[in-house]
Amino acid sequence: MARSVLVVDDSAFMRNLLKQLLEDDHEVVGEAENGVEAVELYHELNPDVVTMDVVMPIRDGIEATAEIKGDDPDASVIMCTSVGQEEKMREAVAAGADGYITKPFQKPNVLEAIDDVVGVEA
Amino acid sequence: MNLDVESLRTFSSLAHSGAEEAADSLSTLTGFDSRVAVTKVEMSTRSDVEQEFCERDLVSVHIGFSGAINGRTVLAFDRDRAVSLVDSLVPGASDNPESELATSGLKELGNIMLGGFIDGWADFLGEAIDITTPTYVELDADRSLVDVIDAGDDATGEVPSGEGLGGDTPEAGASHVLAFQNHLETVDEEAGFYIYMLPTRESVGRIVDAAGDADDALPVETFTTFSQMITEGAGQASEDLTAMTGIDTDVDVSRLSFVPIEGVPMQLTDETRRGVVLEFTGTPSGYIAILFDPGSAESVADALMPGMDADPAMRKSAIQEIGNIVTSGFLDGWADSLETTIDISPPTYVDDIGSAIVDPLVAELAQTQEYAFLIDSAIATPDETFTCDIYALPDEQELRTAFERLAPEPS
Amino acid sequence: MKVYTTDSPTPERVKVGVAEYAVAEGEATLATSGLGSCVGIALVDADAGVAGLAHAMLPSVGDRGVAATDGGEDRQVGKYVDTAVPGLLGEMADRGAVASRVKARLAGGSAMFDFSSSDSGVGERNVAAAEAALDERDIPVVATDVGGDYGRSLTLDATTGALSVRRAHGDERTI
Repeated sequence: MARSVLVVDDSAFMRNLLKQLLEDDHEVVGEAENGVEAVELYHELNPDVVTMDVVMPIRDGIEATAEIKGDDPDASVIMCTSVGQEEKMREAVAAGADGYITKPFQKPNVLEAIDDVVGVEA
Repeated sequence: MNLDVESLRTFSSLAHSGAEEAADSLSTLTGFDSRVAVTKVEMSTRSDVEQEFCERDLVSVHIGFSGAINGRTVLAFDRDRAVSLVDSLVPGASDNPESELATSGLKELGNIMLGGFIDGWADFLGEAIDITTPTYVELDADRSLVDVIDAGDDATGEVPSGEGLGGDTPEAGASHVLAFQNHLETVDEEAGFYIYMLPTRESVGRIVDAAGDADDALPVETFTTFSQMITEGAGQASEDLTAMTGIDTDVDVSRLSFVPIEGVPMQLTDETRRGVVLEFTGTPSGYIAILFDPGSAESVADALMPGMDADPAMRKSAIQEIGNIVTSGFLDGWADSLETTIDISPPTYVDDIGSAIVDPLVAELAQTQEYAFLIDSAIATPDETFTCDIYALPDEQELRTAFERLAPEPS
Repeated sequence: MKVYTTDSPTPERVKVGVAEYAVAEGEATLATSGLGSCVGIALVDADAGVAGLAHAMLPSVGDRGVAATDGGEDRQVGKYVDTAVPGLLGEMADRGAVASRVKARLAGGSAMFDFSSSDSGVGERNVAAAEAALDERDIPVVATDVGGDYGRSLTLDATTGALSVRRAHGDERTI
């Protein structure tokens, strides 16, 4: 079922790409360019799920994830990033990330991750 | 056999002065003013070294050497340049460049240039090095460098062939060699000369013993392992690029070289390059540039946004994203193998003179190091729709720390 | 660097690489490319027809954290502004230039990147070092094209002293 998604990535191209990938199945309700905006918009929009890039200026995705999960343990955050290092994945888990996909990603993987993390039922 | 940075510096310095001698000889003999543009100590596979030859239309003169050290040197030049050189040595010979007279003129040039090159090494080692009669060779599609080196003119009968650094029975193309590449240029920028020196493994050991810093030394396998990591990283980057663009790409080349820091910008030209520069921090730290020629940048952006009439800002963002992904593909394997983290900064978009892009990175590193490890890879599509060049410049000290982590435990 | 005159009617073109300098006389051009944070120092004594061009990377030899290697004197001299300027002037004097007649032009010294590790502003410091070194020797800087966030390539005309500065997107100006 359709979920509301907050897309966080410093790349305009990537946000655009994600919107395109998601538009048939979910609703993108907001976009953020860095970790600070991500936290602000999360609280403002209360999306079902957040797709979170790791490498961003001002505040990175790991920190933003920790803050969002700290404020709201039920939040669903999926890291969507180019960085595929084991150590980084451990950091993401420690911050509370619910999922981790590496770029370049395929549409089915993204949709599957959302379903896995948020659940298929309403 | 152990290798260390001090030895690499000695190699580089000797190779450079040898090349300067050779350039002087060339100037004297031909009247063409020439200078040494670049000296590189390269650790790559034989097939990579060979690749460099095949990329240009080269003719070459080979000389074997034996004594204090053994191996082969090759003086290679563009075919067109060969013709004009021949004429300066033997006026009128360019009318018949294939003639005995012409080729013997070139062989003699090779003799003098390469002889001067080898002399410096002999002086350093305090022992004589003999050179063989020069062999004049043309390289073309049917004859690879490996064939030529292995067949060779073994006047001494002692020069080993097919020996790599990586182990006892390396496959001819995959085995690693330590190659010294010197690029000489004349006033006419179009044509260059290359002097390659390929010592045997034992000889590298000999020089290291004479030059090296034993405390600092690491088994040469460490360098070859790192060289493999680079190749794997390039392979991952290539896969990621293919996944993003939908266009099949392959790794054309991936090399680890040791170059005087001021020599790094010379790897690029005056031509414009577009792409990204990123800083990475961890073990090791450094800078990485992902660069495309303008045509390739357009092709890549088109491939990422098919059918879309994307504005320049979006295209720029797409290239930045490619830079991110290629960098991660390239470096992630290093972090995992070294069991460290390597953090990557957000990308800075560049669209500028190629050598100028690398210049500030070099200036930063030059504040604390005199030589640089340069890792360069090229990823391309088979039909040349686009080529992507990756240049990584790790901090020398931190790379050594990384090497130490890679080195096998002493038993 | 030794210069041979050839039979060719085209003027001689001397290339200056990174951390190098060179001098030419008469009908010749000196060229260097890829100045990012490096500074290009162009010196001309028009009366004597002698010109020199340096491509220096760092402000001062005293700036380094490493000990000098035996890589050869020359290789170090061109790298630092504070040794390149006297080196260049010395060689020009050998070829007949007189310091009091020399005029300088500077180009380069940009700040292309803003990385956390490099808040050193090396480009700016290179330009400042060049100005100081020239000022110390009473050599006037008659024109500059420095700073910004882009790269430059230079061609110096040894007879007129004009310095042509080229940017990536065809933009070329003469100072």
